[in-house]
Amino acid sequence: MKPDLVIGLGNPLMGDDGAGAAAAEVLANDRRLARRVDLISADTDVLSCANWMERRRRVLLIDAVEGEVPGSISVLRESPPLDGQQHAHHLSAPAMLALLRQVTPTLHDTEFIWILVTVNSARVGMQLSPEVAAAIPKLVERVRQELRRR
Amino acid sequence: MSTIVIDHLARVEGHGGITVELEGDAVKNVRFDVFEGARLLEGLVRGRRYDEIAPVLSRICAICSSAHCLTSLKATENAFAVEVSPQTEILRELLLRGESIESHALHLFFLAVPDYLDRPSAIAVAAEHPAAVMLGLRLKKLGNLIQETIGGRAIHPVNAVPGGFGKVPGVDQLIAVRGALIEAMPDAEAMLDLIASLPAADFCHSDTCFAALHSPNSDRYYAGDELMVVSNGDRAIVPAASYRSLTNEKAIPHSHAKHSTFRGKPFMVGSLARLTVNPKRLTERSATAPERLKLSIPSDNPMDNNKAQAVELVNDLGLALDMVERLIHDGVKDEGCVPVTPRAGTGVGVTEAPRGLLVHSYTYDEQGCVVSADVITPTAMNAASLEQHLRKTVEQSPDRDQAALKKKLQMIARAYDPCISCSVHLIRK
Repeated sequence: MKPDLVIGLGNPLMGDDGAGAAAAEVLANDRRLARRVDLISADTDVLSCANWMERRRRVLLIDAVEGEVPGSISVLRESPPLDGQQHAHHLSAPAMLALLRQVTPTLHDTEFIWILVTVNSARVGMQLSPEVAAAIPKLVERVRQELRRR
Repeated sequence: MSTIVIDHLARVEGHGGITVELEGDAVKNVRFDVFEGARLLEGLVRGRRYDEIAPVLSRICAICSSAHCLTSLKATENAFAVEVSPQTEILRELLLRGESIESHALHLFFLAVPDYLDRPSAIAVAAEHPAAVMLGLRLKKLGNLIQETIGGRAIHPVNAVPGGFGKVPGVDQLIAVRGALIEAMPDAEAMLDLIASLPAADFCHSDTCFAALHSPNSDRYYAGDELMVVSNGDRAIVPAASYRSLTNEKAIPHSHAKHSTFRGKPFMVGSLARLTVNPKRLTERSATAPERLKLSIPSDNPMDNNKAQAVELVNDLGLALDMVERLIHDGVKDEGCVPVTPRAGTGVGVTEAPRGLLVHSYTYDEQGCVVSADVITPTAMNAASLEQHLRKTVEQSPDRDQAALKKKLQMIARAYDPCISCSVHLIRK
């Protein structure tokens, strides 16, 4: 089995949408952590991580979720609900993961954990909102807690 | 008056929709709306140094990140009169070919095929046809592998820099890519069989004007400085530096993406346009693919863009293999980058992104910092043509059943393979 994998999701050009990528960047700067965990930033393309996910016991996905209270953090051990829409250009991150798990037997035993930070806008800009920026240390700590859990 | 509304076409980053207003049986109005808020992407690079621009703008879209990166570099090098080496040109061409393989596989298998099979999503297709979805995933992975090998990462390439490549791929890496491409050849055949087996989508016909990078004797995504527009057999050349005569953007009330027309006519960019503008771009290996898919060029059916993507996918695989073999044979030199000396001026870069022409243009000051920037995406260029085809779809439908019309309208929109987020292109201040 390969080490646990942490995937940061979101577009850093779209403000708070990039919160997951920002948290992954903080974690990547921790050399001790980087020795025992693999960390990647996948922007908005979960399918591009297919090779990375294989033969892992756990994969943690850090992402932004729309909601009322920006900066609040939640952990889902089941995939977030699919939005049921057929989009023009892309699949949503949960839909991409569901698709991969459906057709990849080597992912069936992998535990997927979503660590989500709530945002209420994703507007163009390379800065996080003050509420979400303030939540990044908590988000990072939540990821570390999950990684410590055996 | 009745109205048909399709609210969402895009994912969370932005959303677009379609509105059709009918008065009795007559179509009063058809709109392709982009509701997304101001993106002001160009504003993100104003004041930044030339070597920071491509890494920022490659993030406009995860699917087209290599195209945005290389178009940005092309514009910057054009502004500073930098001529890159032939090796750099080949590596950049190969990088874009990898992106096209990845993007076409994603679009065809996970967005278009569910429409043809009347399934709500790729997940539903996977339940009944897992082999087809696996095929799409394998082809997409191959595109990612090419990009990772040449660009250093599967998305947002880091090796391509102003003047060349900071790091070039090793022979072992290229041999691995060659192996993967050879293994993928049966997949290309299976993909053609699958696309050929789909039900016909024959509900919209219209004279269409096409625009693409002009490459008369070869198949190019990266190299080239001329655009060609084809309309009813007439061909017009537009130099890249005069791209505004082609894009000629016009703000419209219902969309944040401005509409482009050429001599007053909407035009289509993308796979179908590339095959129409450059009919000789297919290699011997892929020459029979259009016939297998019953694709005639020029086509008046926008749904044929899906077939054209399938043809390009086969062509891209063969040409990528040729390019990799050539690189292995000749050896890839660690030649370093051509020195870049910033100067005041404007540069334009035009390439073929997977979904069509992509333009970046920057004006720099003497220190090499961006004074103004202009990014025009294929989806922005396609917006007027898409609206025209949405109207034709409704006008040519024999009945006014809302569910059936909605499905056709969504299929037309998806056939354009739009990236609605990155089509947003606001008036510059």
